[in-house]
Amino acid sequence: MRVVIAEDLALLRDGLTRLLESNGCTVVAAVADGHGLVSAIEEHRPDVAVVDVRLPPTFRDEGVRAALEARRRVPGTPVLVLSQYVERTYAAELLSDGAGGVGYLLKDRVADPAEFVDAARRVAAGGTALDPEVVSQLLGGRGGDSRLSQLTPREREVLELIAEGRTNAAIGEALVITPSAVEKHISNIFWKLDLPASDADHRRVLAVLAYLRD
Amino acid sequence: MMSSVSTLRHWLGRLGRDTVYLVTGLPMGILTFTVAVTGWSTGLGLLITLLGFPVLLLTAVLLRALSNVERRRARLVLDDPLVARYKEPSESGIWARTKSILSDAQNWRDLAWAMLLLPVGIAGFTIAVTAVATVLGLIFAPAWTWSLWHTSDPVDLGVFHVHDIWTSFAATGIGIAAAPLALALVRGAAAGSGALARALLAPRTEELEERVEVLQATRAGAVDAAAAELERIERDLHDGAQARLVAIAMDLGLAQQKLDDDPEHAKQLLAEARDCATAALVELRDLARGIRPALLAERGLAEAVRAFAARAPVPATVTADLGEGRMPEAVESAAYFVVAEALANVAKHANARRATVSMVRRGDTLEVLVVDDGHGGANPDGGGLKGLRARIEALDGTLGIASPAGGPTMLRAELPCAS
Repeated sequence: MRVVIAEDLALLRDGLTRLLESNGCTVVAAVADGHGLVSAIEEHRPDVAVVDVRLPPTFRDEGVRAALEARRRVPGTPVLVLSQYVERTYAAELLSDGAGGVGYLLKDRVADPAEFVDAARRVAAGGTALDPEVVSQLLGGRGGDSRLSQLTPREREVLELIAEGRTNAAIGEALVITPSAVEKHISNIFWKLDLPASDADHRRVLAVLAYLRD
Repeated sequence: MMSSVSTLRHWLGRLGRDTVYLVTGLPMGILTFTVAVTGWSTGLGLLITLLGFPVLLLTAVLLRALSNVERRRARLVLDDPLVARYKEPSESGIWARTKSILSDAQNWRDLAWAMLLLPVGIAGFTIAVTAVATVLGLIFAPAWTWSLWHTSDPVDLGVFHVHDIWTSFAATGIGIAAAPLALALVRGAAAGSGALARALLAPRTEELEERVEVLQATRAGAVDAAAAELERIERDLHDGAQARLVAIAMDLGLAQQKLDDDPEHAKQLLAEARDCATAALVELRDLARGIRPALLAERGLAEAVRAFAARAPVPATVTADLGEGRMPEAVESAAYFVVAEALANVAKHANARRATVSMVRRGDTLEVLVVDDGHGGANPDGGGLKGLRARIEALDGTLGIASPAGGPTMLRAELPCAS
């Protein structure tokens, strides 16, 4: 897997490079700001870009903006955004083109290299990898009469795991239910969220997006 | 009976204070008029030689002191005190001071009062002395005729001639009857003079409004400064300790992965993680010190500043004359950060070999002075200094910087420190 890294702190840039390379990835470019990220993606067309949210010069959401700009220029570029904090708005913005291939993880997740690289691979494959923290934060401040409120508690749990980027098998394992029960929940979710019929992966992304936008 | 005695005492006290006020008005009037006229005519006359400026400045300072005496004197006849409210010069230096004096309407009203006090004083003095002397003269006429009975000349009391013991008792009657009139005259003159003093020496409503505006602006500045400070702390945490902890977690995770097939590499990763943890601890400690130095709270300003100066890269000598007792916490902490920022700037920009810090408390003012021997040219609107200024102005203090190209740079802060 070919990776571009955008991280302004050399300490973490080097650490990420080391972590990815010792887990079988190739870091084709490691840059320190948003402009660097956009041109590195245009030049290298990586399988995934790992991007810190806060980059110079503004140190606010430069990383998210640069990632969006890169996806506008090279559509479908998978982006895994890392942040010290999770902001649901950013996750929604990244997913808003509906193309998938978006991850949004707390930096803490690098403590488990295998899990982290696995998330990067899911994103590279066009899936999503939203941090469990994003998901639980979203769930906390939710209520009212949205389409999501029509979901049963179990369907919500399934949707959370979809947002984290889990496969059907992994979801069944986590909730201790059969694969066919998982599929049934998922089709209920798609139906209740009124998602257009298309390939399953794409609908999963749209479901997550609906979840974030709500 | 009691009430009439206390009423009498009240009116006699009133009369006494009014009389003192009116009588002292004349010498004060002569003094203020002389200072105002001499000072201004000399100053204006010398203006062409530049020597005029210091003369005018000195005159203004003298008039300001005399006006403050006048404000205190007016307490004799006014119920509530007159407060003095002058513009503070925005920076130090003779030119800034002159400018602030010229643009301060209160100074011009002080001048008007200094000129007016002479005629007002003459009138008041005449009324008080005539009224009091005439009434006392009439009332005590019998004593007069008795002591002077051997002379045959009649005593002339203006409207009335006393030529024997009977007419002298009649004079006493007239005197007692005229006393309320004299009282009213003296009261009226004193009240009029006092009202004029209030009109000229008390701050105007617009000026109080201006003061409110200044307070609003400095408060907003303080809020901005606090927000900027919080942002800095958050940034320091994000780029410092937080990033190091992420790196530690990453190293430990990798080390765990490598433990079995590449123990040498794992060992190296663990060592790196430990170094990183040590660095994070140092950064957190420095950050905590930057927020609130422990020594400042525990030992006070002088020791905290000495300790800071001892750690500073450019050697700095510290002299402190802060008197007994501690100053308010906000003042101590503002003064500490003035020195900290100044010395940090000296180390960063000034190319200086040494710096001196002096902190002196004079009455209710703390003066902090930081001077270096560097090449000058400091930018007074730079980020750090701007934040400092907001912090100081929020405490009603002032911050001045003089940094000519070629040096030296002098930073001076004045903070009110009444505890």
